[in-house]
Amino acid sequence: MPTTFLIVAASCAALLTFPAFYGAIRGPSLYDRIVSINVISTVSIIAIALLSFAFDNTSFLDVALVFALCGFVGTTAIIKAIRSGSLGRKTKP
Amino acid sequence: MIITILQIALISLGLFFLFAGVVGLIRLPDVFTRMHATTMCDTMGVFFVLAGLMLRPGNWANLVKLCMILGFLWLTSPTVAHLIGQAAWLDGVPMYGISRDKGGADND
Repeated sequence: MPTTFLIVAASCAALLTFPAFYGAIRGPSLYDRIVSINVISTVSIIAIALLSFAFDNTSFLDVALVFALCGFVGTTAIIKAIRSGSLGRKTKP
Repeated sequence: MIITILQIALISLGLFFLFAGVVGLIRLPDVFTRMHATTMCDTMGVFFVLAGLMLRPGNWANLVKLCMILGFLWLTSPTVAHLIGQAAWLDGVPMYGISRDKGGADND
């Protein structure tokens, strides 16, 4: 696997964050923005995983794994905070 | 040689799926249709790119880490999509081209 292909693929994946960021700015409702931020998180995971093989530094894979965990927890916390107004209480009936 | 060509093909296919998901996010008119595009990007794009990286000969730790990333993303991204869709539906976000008079937010 040539390293230049991996770097070009990671650059393409990183450039895809800009249209998703435009979607996050534009989105008419709050949920469009959450979907766009979710896409930014996924594309960043892909870019980090590609860069870890491009640089032959496999500790970046741990970074990608932790990024996936944090993205899921963050999105779930945002939705819970929106729906119940708080992070600790139960959702409104 | 064959493995390299297969890797390049798989990573390119995964990047195409990611691109299609982002295009769907920009072009589609609604929260629900946008979510349909981006969950395809979450599952298929991530699967093809990580499968292309898994074919690289190396030590087993990288393979296990890539399998963990893939399994975790496949476990969590449908859950997040379901949560976003449920929250948007209960909040009364309008659907494109469909009237929500019957079966709206009261009828969850």
